[in-house]
Amino acid sequence: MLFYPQTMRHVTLFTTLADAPNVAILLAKSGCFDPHSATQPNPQLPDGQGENYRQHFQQAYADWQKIKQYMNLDVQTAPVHIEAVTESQLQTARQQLAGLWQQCLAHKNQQHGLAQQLQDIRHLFDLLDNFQRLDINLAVLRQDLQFLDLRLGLMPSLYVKRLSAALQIEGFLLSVYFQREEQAHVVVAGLKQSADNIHSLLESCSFQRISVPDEFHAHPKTVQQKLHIQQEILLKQQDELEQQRQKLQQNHQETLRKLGQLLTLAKPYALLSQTMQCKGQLTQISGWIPACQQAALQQHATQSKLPVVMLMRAPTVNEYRHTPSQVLPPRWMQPFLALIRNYGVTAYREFDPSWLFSLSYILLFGVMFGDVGHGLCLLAVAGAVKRKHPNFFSFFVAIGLSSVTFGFVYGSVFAFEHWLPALWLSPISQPLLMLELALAGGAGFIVLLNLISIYNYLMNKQWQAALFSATGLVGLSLYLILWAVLWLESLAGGWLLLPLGLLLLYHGWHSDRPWAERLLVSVIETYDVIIALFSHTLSFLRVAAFALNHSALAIALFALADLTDGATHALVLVLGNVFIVVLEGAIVAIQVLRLEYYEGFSRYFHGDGRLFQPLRLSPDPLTHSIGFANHP
Amino acid sequence: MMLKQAHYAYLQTWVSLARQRLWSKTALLALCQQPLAEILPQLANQGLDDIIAQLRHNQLQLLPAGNMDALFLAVLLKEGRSMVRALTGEEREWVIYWLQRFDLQNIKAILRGKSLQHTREQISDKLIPVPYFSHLPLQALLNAEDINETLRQLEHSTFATIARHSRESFTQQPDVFTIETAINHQYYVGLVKRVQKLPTEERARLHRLLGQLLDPINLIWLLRYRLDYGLSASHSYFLLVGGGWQLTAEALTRLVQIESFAQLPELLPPKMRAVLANSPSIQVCELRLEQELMTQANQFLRQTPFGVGHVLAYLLLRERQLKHIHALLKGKLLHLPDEQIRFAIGGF
Repeated sequence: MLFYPQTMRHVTLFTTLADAPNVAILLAKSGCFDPHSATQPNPQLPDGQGENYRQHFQQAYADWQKIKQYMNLDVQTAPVHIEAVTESQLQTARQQLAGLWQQCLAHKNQQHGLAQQLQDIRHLFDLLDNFQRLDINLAVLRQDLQFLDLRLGLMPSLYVKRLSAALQIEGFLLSVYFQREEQAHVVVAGLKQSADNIHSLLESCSFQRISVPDEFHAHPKTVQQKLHIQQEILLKQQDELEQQRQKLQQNHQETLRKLGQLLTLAKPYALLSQTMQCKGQLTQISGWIPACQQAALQQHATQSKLPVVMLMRAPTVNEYRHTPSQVLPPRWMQPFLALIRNYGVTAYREFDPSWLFSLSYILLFGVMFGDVGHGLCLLAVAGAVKRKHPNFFSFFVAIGLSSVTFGFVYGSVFAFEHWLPALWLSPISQPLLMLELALAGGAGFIVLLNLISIYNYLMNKQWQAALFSATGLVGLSLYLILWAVLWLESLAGGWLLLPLGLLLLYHGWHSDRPWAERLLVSVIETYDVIIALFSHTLSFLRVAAFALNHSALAIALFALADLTDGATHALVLVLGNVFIVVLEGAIVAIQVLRLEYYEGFSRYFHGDGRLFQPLRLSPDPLTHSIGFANHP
Repeated sequence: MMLKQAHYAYLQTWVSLARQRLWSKTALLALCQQPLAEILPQLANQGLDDIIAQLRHNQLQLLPAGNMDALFLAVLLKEGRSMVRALTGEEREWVIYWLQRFDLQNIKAILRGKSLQHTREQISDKLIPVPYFSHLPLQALLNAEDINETLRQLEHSTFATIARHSRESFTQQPDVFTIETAINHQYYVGLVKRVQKLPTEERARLHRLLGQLLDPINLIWLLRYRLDYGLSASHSYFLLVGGGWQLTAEALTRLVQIESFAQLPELLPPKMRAVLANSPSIQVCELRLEQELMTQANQFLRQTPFGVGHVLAYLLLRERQLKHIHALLKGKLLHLPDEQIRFAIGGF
């Protein structure tokens, strides 16, 4: 149980169509039934059911969610009386919610309209800012004057002097009325008959004409006052609308709570109906439950006195890829489980990497980032995030403790390597030994992963792959012989021919190409296996490299600090340590993850499983999406 | 301060010695009468050893035009580098900026190539190497997709201000003429601005020479904008550079009213009118103004206390002399009539 997902049983459940909603409630209450379309459809039950029910539910649920979000509701939707919801009840609820949403929508649109008007006014205020320094009636600027060409514009201050002189040649005047950073706000005025002569000139000095909006038809101060009055009216209307929204919320809170409860009760059948097969009144429901829950579900069914016949069996080998997997690691492993899920979901009958991943991650992090002080900092981070991000708490505690432990082993506290005697040694004092140990550790890890991979093949009854594949017995033999030949020099190179030959044959056997191409593919794939074995092993050198890097950074930090004295010396040390904890800590965390993913998971973990998602009487958002039954 | 004077002492000696390379116009025109084989030995003290060697090696065969330009430019910039080494601070920056103007030719060549949708190789062939002083990200500019991207890339170089203004102008009026005008204009605006950063004494000495340098530039631009491109008086004025010596803001305001080339003499300040008397075309005006500038630069070298202006004056004179030698050699290699060669080197 520790190293593989829960054993599952396939359940086929027969009942009547009329009782199906109650059976759905029963299954949801049990919390252990994951509905799934039958892997082999029953030809005697060809009909589907519940299409209308699903549509009502989908629409009602969508409206309910929108209303909840709009009204910012926090209502309790856990049902008090548990009973199945009929289609007509659901239809009524849908209509109620649709009507309510229309009211909300009308409010929402009004709010949007007001917000838009307020935004327009703010925009006008910004525009008016450009004209504030002009002590004239702005309406003049909007008029088409008979003799005068008058234009306002924005231009780079740099050109003002030159442009002013150039404009004088055409009898035009330029006046700067406002200057902001490198831009000047100017008025250009002259006789209309000469206006054509200045077009290209104004263009060449990046003159941008400012048009005067319709609202600006008085002196800037008067316009400003009018805008303020308009703004106040709109803000008042906005307040009134908000009060109406709150009133609407109060009036309908109870209704919405009841409708929410109704939807919670309707959800199981809406989901289940997708997987049902029917003929007349006879209905078949299929799904999966953990083997350990068999008896409990049977008992529930008996107690409910519903007409239910339940057949349970173990999944066949062909069904393994459809079988959901449920892993139950301890609570502290949740953040590590999230990292595993990031890669993939453990397949049914696949080695569950939770323990191996978590423990090896913690160990490798400690080895690469061993420092008592820095570890304590990570523990402090754990304390800080405990309340807001409880999921990260155990992650930081685990890597912090590991860092502290290896800090004692290396004798390092906040990069000081003379405060504590090392329980073993400081990495920098024996770099070659560290590299050798990392290489040996990596090789051991790869051997272990190959053994797990063989276990996975055997569990899935893939005998050929277990024996002859690159991550099977032959691959493992090749790796061990390579070590014996190249490192220990205890075997002759000729021993390599046997596993290499078998690998070549295996790759060739599995290819469906013509013979010549098959030979080529086989040689390339075998060559790739050898390269991967070397590169994966050498990749573990980074474990030692980062342990050395930690010490090297400490030396660099002290060299830098020694250039200063007094308070600056202390400041450099503190900032340097912060730098190490943040930057090196993050890099090590990523590097360990990289080792786990590329050198680890690529050998034994496919992550192509399906997560066990039981029906629940839960007010939470849908865990199952409608249409899930089509998923493999 | 002592250190600066010591640097200047070296620079003063260097310029004094280098001045001996500068020929009078008469001496140069005299060379036009001689065959190429006799001219080459006389170029021995001109620092043109590489060019002479190449010409002899190729048995006086014609070198590709681009190669010849590059060789002459390299000679000038090599001398420029020697002088820049002896300068410090703002003076040094100012001279470097002056020498970087050769980069502008390459920028314009790239922009022209982009506008004509030439390939990277076609554009590359038109570029002239600018040794020692070029700061252009040439590869990035060549790889740019269009003019806008080229100017954006240029914004990461020492020509950032020029590029930004050029891009603004290009956005308003998307044609190559606009960009080239903006580039030229911004370059000289930058040159004048940098003069403002020089020590007061230097600034005062340089003021006249710089003004005399800007006068011909402004006048030729003005004539072209007004008479060739038909820009309005105000627009033409806007595209000129302030800080001229004879062509002050007032004189330029008067000049931009020009409607035909015949009106030019009456609008010019008296001294310039004398220089340009009876000029039949803008091209002749340009040559005469250049000749006048060289006379002023020569006077500056002889009469003004030593300063960074001497570097500019020497570089102006040396550049023109190299151009003339270039024209002379090219004319001889192409077997052009002596009269044509004389015209090219200002013997009109």
